Amino acid sequence: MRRPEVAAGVVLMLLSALIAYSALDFPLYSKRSVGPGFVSFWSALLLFAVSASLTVTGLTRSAQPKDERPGRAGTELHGGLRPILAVLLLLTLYVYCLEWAGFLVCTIVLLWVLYGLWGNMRWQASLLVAFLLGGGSYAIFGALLGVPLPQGALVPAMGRLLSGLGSGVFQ
Amino acid sequence: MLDQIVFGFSVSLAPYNLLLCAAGVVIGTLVGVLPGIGPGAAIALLLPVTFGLNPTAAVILLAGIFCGCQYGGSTTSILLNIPGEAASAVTAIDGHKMAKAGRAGPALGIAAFGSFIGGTLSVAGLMLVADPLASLALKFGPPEYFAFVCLGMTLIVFLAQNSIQKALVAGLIGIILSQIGTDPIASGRRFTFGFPELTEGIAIVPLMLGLFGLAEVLISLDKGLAKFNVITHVKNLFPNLQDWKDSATPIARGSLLGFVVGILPGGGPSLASFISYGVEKKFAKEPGRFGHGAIQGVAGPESANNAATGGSFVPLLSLGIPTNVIMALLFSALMVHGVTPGPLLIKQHPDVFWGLITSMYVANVLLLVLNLPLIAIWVQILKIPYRILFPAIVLFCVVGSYNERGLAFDVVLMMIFGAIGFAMRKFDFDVAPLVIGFILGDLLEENLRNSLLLSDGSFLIFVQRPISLFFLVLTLTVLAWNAWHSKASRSR
Repeated sequence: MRRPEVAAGVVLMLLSALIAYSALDFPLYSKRSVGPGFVSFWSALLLFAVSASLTVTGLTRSAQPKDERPGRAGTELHGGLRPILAVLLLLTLYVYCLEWAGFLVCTIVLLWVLYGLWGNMRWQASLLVAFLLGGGSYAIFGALLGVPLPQGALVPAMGRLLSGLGSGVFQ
Repeated sequence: MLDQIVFGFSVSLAPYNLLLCAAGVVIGTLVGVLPGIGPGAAIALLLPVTFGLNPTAAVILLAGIFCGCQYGGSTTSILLNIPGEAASAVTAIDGHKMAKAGRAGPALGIAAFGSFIGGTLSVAGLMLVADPLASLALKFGPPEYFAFVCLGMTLIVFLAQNSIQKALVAGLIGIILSQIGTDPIASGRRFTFGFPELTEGIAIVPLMLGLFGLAEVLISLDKGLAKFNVITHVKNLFPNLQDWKDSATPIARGSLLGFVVGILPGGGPSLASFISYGVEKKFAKEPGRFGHGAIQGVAGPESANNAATGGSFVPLLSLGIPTNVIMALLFSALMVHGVTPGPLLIKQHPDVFWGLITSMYVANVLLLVLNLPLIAIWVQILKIPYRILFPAIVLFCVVGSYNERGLAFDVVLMMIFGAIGFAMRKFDFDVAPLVIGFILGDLLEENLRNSLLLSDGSFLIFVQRPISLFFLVLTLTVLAWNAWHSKASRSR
């Protein structure tokens, strides 16, 4: 038995059944043509059939020893699931803060953490690289290519605060 | 024809466009040489760079990036033995052996010259074939297009590097994903799950960046950010007379074969380079040298994979059908810039059409002029550890997915597709069929429903029209042949 194929097959069967069921919310046929649910419904049914055959293949074929699969990514996690989940979690936080803190701040913090965790460098060095890369990307995409990157509320608020403090000092 | 070629060169050789093409070649090579990043991932990552440009300039920059990526991939294969994509895997067999034997220079040199010759011949072929085919395609109605898309869908089976079942699963998931958004005929919302951001469907850029960019990072993290052993000693980039004698015929054969294979659905650089390697081994005086550093094993496949690229442009530009994942990426790039590939492209955007074709040629010349002298820099880039590179790749994925529509939602989509791409690779599913299914799914549905509207709901319309019937018979033949072939190879 090939466990990964069986697991993938079963998950896909459940998923395709759900899609086929959801597709029934839309008409499959109309008066002169097929309806908006037609392609999704039949694709989901076909997906169910192929997934079922994948499951059967996985059940009937014997598992291959790992060393007989050169160049293939196995299903075991070498670096562990932790770094992958960590990157996805960091990106989720990044998206959550993007509109509020702005592209520049969020990107520098994200890069700092990524380099800090995996860059194998001191925190000062990783902060410097994060500043250069984050600032550089902001300059290229935001200023040079005119991409409307989110400014966020944090930087303007800090700017106002600083200018307020500055005017207070000079008054 | 000559007028159009001159017009094309006037577009691609305009100083600004020439500069963009040169920048594309350098940037493409720079990203293409990075270990583990194939042309697919490289183009997906660099797509955002073109966002601020007009369509012609963007397409010219992409042509440069594409050619640069291809060449960069070969460099990595030869010096590092890590092919970024299947097409370069063949180059790695003999190219890396040559490099280990101290002949990295001639291997890189013949790869560059072979790519240049193959690319040049295929551009000539593209000029001759694409225009008449586009004129023919103008006579196509929805039934003909539907049947042709069905034929294109069969390439999902050919793209199966692991298993046909898994390729079909990926392709079907792609078709289902293409159904999300507004119904193209009745204009109602479908499967948007209450997210207004999904009204226009899943944006192609976050999908590509997730599947190719972020997934690649996650896979590398999973492998524990491995260190690579680079061959840094590169000298004598110009092949000697004997090398040229050995390589001339493989280059000619590879170029011709590559162009023809590239046009076919499911063909493209990977298949062309594998076939070329097999052909060269068959014709070789000493086939035993193959696999041990035979220069023919580099010259033939490299010419073939570049020539196949030109061939792959034929169905993309004249019919609007991408036949492999790179063409799917370029298809989406053109769509992002408001240019729809297909038979009307040549009439509606002659500057884009001829500018793209001629800039492919210009990019091949620039590759020779710029990249061979810059080889020392590429070698240095190969030494950059992946732990330094991957945060920058993540940054590109984030910026790229945000750029297209200015929505944080698209970054979330990119993350989701990154996770899906990672899971697919872990379970040995190919990503390419998903992309093809996603792009062709829309065309399939629209043409199916329009055809049935024409025939008042009768499916007979597909067999009553000769061109449509021809494509459907061809589709069934291809599927039957594939089923027979896989059954025969299983019983062997």
